[in-house]
Amino acid sequence: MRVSPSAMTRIGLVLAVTAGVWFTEGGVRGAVAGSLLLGAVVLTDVLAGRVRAARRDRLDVWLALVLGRLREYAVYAGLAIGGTAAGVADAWAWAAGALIAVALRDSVAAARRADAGEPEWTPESGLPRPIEAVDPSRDLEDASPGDTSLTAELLGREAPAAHGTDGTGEPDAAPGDVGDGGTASEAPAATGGGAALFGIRTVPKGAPWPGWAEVRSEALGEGAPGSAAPPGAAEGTPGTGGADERDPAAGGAGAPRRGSGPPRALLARLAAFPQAARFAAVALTITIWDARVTFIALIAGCALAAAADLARRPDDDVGR
Amino acid sequence: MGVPASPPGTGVDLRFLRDDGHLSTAMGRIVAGALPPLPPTLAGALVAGVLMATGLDHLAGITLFAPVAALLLSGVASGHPHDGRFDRLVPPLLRATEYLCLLALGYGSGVGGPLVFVLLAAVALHHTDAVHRTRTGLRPPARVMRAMLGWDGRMLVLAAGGALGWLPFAYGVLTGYLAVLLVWEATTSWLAAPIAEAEAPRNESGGVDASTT
Repeated sequence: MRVSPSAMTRIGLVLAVTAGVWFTEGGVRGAVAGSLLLGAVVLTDVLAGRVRAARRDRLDVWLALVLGRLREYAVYAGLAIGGTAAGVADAWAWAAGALIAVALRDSVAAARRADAGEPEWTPESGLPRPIEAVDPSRDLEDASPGDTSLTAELLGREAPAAHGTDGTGEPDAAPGDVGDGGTASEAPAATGGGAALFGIRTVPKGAPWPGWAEVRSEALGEGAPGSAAPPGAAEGTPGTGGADERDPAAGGAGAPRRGSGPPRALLARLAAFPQAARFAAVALTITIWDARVTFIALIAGCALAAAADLARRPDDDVGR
Repeated sequence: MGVPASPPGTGVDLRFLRDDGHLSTAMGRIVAGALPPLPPTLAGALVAGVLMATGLDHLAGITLFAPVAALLLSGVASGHPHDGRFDRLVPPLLRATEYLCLLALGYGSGVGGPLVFVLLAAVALHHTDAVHRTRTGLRPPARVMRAMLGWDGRMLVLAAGGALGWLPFAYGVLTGYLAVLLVWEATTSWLAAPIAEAEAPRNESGGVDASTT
């Protein structure tokens, strides 16, 4: 018998809806039955991953991702109905909060992997030039920099001919001989070539954020900044091309495929808070406590995952 | 929302992720993308957040437009290519503000909890669908994204409904419209699309060659 992966996806949807129906009961019996069904849902994902290994068509990938979200929202709705029946105040608002948290986690992951867009204005577009739109009074043929002293201030340099070149203004002045006129705040700006003057310096596009790699490796206790994002962590975000977050869920049940050591890879996957982890959190909290604890746990987990995703960001800057 | 790059690549760009509606796109035309997107978005999100924290249920009538008007500050920057270092924060910020506004407005004004939940689910599924359909190489055309109204359109519809005193009705209509459009559009576009292997090599015109086996 051959079962296609999208059939597995549909079976998973039906099982998740059934789990949601059990969760509407609100008692311990419903919680346990629903949790077992959620386990079965995760199992269908593992099986779908096995079946899909050879072939993966785009409808199948899309269905797995969109129906995966749909079934999760169905489970939340079931939990909210059960919570309302069990007397949890504002159960629907909590459920909507959990939905928002999951959607925002997806959004952060999608934005992290996205490219910059095309600019609206191109020479062929026929639109007014950006400088014309912003500053209509400017003479278009005048290509000179507008206010040299402002430019100099913004870039943290001495204005070219504003006043005499004393010792503090020279970029190559030694740090020792600024004691005459230079205050403590402008001395590093002059000597470091604009490395201080923290708020308003500009960094060339595509350059790494200065100091980020050092601070980060110091904070995480790691060596090279490049090794900071293990491959498993990047896979935990939805949609690496076609591989969805179900793949780490599949791998989480078996042995991790690669990465620097099993515990680390597993931890990185858990930090991305994939759907299997969310379902595990739901099963655990709804069985022990009530729906409100479940939703709070989901919101907290998604917030942590999104924060971790944002903190990992600047390392991936090189591709742009 | 720009024209897709000449090969319909699987890359998602940040301006597509913004999910702008008509009004936001039109405002972006004014400055031709010369404004950086993050500061106005942050300002708008901050104002909308403060309004939500004080409680949208205290607002009535025309003041219900305040959150969307504040967030429309970000619409001015919608033409920017979003290539700044922190411009990746812009789409999540816009989405967070939109979702939370829909939730706070509905919940604070006594719209039924299930209805608010279903509307949020429809919007979130629309975003998931748009992103993942682009990733599989079938980017939804700009016409379809506009028909889903964008974040500004959805918030404006609800604000107008609230100002007229028909908030539950506006939630219901918007939910029904979005859900029907989502299902209908996904179905027709998938029926019309060739189902090829998702990771098949692309030919020179950006498509995928038909399977010969």
